[in-house]
Amino acid sequence: MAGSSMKDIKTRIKSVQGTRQITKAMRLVASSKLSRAKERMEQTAPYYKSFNDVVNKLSRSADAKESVFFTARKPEKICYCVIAGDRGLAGGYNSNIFREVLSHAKEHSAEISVLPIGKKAVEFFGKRFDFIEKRQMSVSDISIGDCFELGRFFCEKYKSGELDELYLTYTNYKNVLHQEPVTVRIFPLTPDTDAKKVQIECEQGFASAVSRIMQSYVASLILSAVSRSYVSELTARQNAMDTATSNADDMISELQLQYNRARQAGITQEITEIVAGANS
Amino acid sequence: MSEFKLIIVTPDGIEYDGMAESVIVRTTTGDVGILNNHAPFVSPLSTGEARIQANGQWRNAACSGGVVSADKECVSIVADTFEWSDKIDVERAEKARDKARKIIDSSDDNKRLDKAKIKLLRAMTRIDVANK
Repeated sequence: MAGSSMKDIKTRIKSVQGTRQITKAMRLVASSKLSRAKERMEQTAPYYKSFNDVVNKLSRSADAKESVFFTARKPEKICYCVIAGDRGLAGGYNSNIFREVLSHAKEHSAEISVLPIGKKAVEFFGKRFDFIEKRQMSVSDISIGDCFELGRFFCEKYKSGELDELYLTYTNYKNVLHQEPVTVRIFPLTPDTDAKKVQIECEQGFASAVSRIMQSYVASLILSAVSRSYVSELTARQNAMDTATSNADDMISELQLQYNRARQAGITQEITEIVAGANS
Repeated sequence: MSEFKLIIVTPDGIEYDGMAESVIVRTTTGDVGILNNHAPFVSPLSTGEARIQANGQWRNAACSGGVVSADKECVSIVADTFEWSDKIDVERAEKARDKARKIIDSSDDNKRLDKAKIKLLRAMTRIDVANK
């Protein structure tokens, strides 16, 4: 009896050890990708920031109302550009972002469409909302060119009235332990009514200048959101796999203890039997 | 000549961050020169040569897309691409030029044609700037 349970424990230890190897490998893969992703995030940060400064300046312009991009209209068609991961096993990373979108969408009684970036987002939203475009993109190999194409795409949709509001949902990377899903509104932009109005010189007229700039601005937003989300995803995966590996370690030592006890019990029993046999 | 703060950024990072005396960039309505103390100004950029004067020295670059913004104290160029003349990969630009020409000669698809024209303009600008 002791023998068979010893064998069971041995098999379990083996299987847990196998799992541990996998989780450890995944952790290493995530952390090696992470340094490159972080580099990319730092590279794109100033681009986004400068662009944001320019758009802030435009929002203080006395002519802001002239542009469709600064004019809110009744939101009947809303689009979410959602950035999730390509793969699971990253703790709550994907489900947090989906929950964020769903709770945000619940507050609006408009027609909702989605542009998913990342295979998990495509899977999740495929059953729930319409896709504004059929193209499917993965997070890890989205290029700068793709971002510019998306910028052009969204600007045209907004100008032609095919969408009234555009939101971007992504995971903001704060630090190793803290990644936060956020939703920001891209269109319409909010004219700054509090600040002192400035007269901004635009040679071809404010509205036309803004609509030319917007494509690149949306591209910069998406680019920075993608790079932040990717860093968040890898960090979340690294943390999840860290926990999984240490859980496996705990399990192995627990099982090893059980195994040793069972082995000792077997030996003790055998000795008792031998002694009993010799005495009789 | 009085100086102002100039910052040039692209999606690949910061290309320039420092003082400059004069900036000439190609906007969608033509070349625009900016000196110190400019009135608030914003304009989208087109594809073309950009010239920057810093410490009395002129430097050239190939620049395309994005926006230029000027304020009293600071000028920023937020470009889709920006390459200093000494960093341009001429071989790559020549290849891109030939490829774009081939598409223009053979394709009748308007969308592809437009894209190829933009690519051709970018490649020509790069080659021109590099060979100056």
